[in-house]
Amino acid sequence: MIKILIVEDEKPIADLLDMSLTAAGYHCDWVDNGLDAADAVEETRYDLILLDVMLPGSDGFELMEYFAPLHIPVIFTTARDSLKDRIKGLKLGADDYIVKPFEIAELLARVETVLRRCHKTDSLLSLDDVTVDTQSRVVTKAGQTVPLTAKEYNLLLLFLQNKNIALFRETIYERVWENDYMGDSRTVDLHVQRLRKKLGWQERIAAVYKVGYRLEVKEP
Amino acid sequence: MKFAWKVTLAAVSILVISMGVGSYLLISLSFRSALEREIDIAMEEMQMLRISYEAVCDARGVTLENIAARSRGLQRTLTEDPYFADRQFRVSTQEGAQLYSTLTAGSDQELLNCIDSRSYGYVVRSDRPGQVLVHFAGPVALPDGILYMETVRDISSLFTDREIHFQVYRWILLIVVAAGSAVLFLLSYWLTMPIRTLGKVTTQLAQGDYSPRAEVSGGDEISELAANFNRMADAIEKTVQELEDAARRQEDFTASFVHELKTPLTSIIGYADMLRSRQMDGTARFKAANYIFSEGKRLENLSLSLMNLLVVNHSAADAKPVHMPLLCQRAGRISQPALEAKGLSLEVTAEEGVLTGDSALLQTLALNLLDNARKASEAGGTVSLTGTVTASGYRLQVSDQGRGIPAEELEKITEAFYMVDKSRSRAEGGAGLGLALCKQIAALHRGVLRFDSELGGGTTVTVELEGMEDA
Repeated sequence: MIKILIVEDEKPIADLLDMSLTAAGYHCDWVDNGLDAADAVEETRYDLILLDVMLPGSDGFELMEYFAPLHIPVIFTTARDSLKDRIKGLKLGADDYIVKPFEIAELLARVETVLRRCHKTDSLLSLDDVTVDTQSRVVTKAGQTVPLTAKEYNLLLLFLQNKNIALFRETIYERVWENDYMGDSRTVDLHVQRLRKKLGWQERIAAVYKVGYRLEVKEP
Repeated sequence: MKFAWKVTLAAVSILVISMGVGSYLLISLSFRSALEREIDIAMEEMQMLRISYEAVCDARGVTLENIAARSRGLQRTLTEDPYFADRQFRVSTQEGAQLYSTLTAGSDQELLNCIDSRSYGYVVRSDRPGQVLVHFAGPVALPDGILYMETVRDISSLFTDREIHFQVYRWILLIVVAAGSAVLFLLSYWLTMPIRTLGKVTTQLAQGDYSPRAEVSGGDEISELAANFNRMADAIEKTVQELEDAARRQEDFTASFVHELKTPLTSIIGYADMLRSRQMDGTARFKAANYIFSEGKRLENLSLSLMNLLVVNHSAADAKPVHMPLLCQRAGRISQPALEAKGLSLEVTAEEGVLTGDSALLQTLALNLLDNARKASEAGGTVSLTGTVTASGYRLQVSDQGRGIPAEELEKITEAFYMVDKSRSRAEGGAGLGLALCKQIAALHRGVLRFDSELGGGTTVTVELEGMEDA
């Protein structure tokens, strides 16, 4: 199981991260200051660290300098969204930078992406007889390659990363099209329908009334 | 062109002109007097010769009538006499007929035409290059008429000397100018050195480095300028420093504010997102809703505190006489329930006294300090509010027996958003703005906050107020 260390001094936010990530199938530990974080990293081998910048005692940038030689992927979660801070964070060796406030879909997608990039997760995602190879970006259904456009592929990935979560149309649009949602829901609907048809997932991808879509998977 | 070069060039020009003109005048003057002297000598020679010639003629009884007949004898006498033999002269009649001549140069008929029986004349002439002669002519008196005599004196050496003088002088001038230029340049370079150093310093200052200062030595105008410049640089550095500090404080405030705003927003948005897009069990749903509520409350707190701070900063406070004991009692009554709820007892003692100020703001000050005391204290402790009349105004003191403030934190606690114990302060619903607000209110009443704290032994906050100036 993937182990994630949450370094966050705000309990509500730490709980939020914990609840979201645990629901997505990760194991989470929480510490609220830099010293405990350093201790925790020494004791347990973590696959990813979510690091707040403004911490009591030492700030996250200082901690990052400590974590960098350990080659543990780090994602900064911070309210500081100035370009200067982003660049500083990434230059120190962080793998990504999530600005608060964030949506859960975004958090999960970024976590997943970083883990995949660092080969912490299997590059093969599968559900039913559909398999997605995230390295070669090839999707197969029952051994047969399914031709998908780039947008359809990203859409499929988003559903697989957010199982059982209702994805709002604007969230889908912002994540897949990487643009601000302008109220045009037909684009999203059209792509979801084409994806359903290509994969034969008419039942799997359920429409949620007035909201969007949800990939329904029965919990084991 | 550099200033040193300009000074050198100007000085060298003056040197060349003055030396050139001076030497030319000097040489010309000395030449002229030498020439006059030579002419005088030539004239004297001619007079002597004339007198001698007249004497010979007189001795031999030569007259104008018989001179033609006696010319042979006369000529012999003249040739044999060593006095005459050495001299170059010519004697001629009034009509121009030559009677005797030892002149190597020719006669000058023009000159002869210019003179008469009583006058002399001379001309300076050059027959060939390098030779200058002074040619004299004058009358020779015989008993029955006059003859004309011409003499010549070579004065070439005078001119050659003048040439040599000029040449020597040109060399001297050249050497003096060369040496003088070098000396003058070094001198002006040395003199303008302080200006250059000052220039370098101003350049650094202009480029934004405010630390270097000009060197001040001696008491001349340049040192004075340097001293004044240094004073200016000090003033600029101080102002820039203040501006930078203010900008940094502003930046810090903004960063903290953004952080304080975004932290509760993150929870609210996150939990709300969770609630709307996920099927959750009852406990989780309650937890999420509770977080949304508490973080929403926190935002509310923040906005209220900020409003207070803005009001204190920007509104014209109401300056009125405030009856301080009454104010202390009222603050005590308002705080009482919260203190009792935590198991704390409150003691209020206030001396009779009146302070000019805004009663609402002063009450906020007292309430905030009491609230801080409550947050710092454990159940069973005592919180006291004491009011004392002082020479300059009124003193408010709030003491608790709580956990105290670490010495190294004392300096920072009045900064906006600063919290000594963040998690505990959060739990008590603080936004980190209370003491910043107190500081502002105290400053408005010409007062300061003083903290005396012992870790684990409690804190005493003293506010010395002088009151607002009467409106």
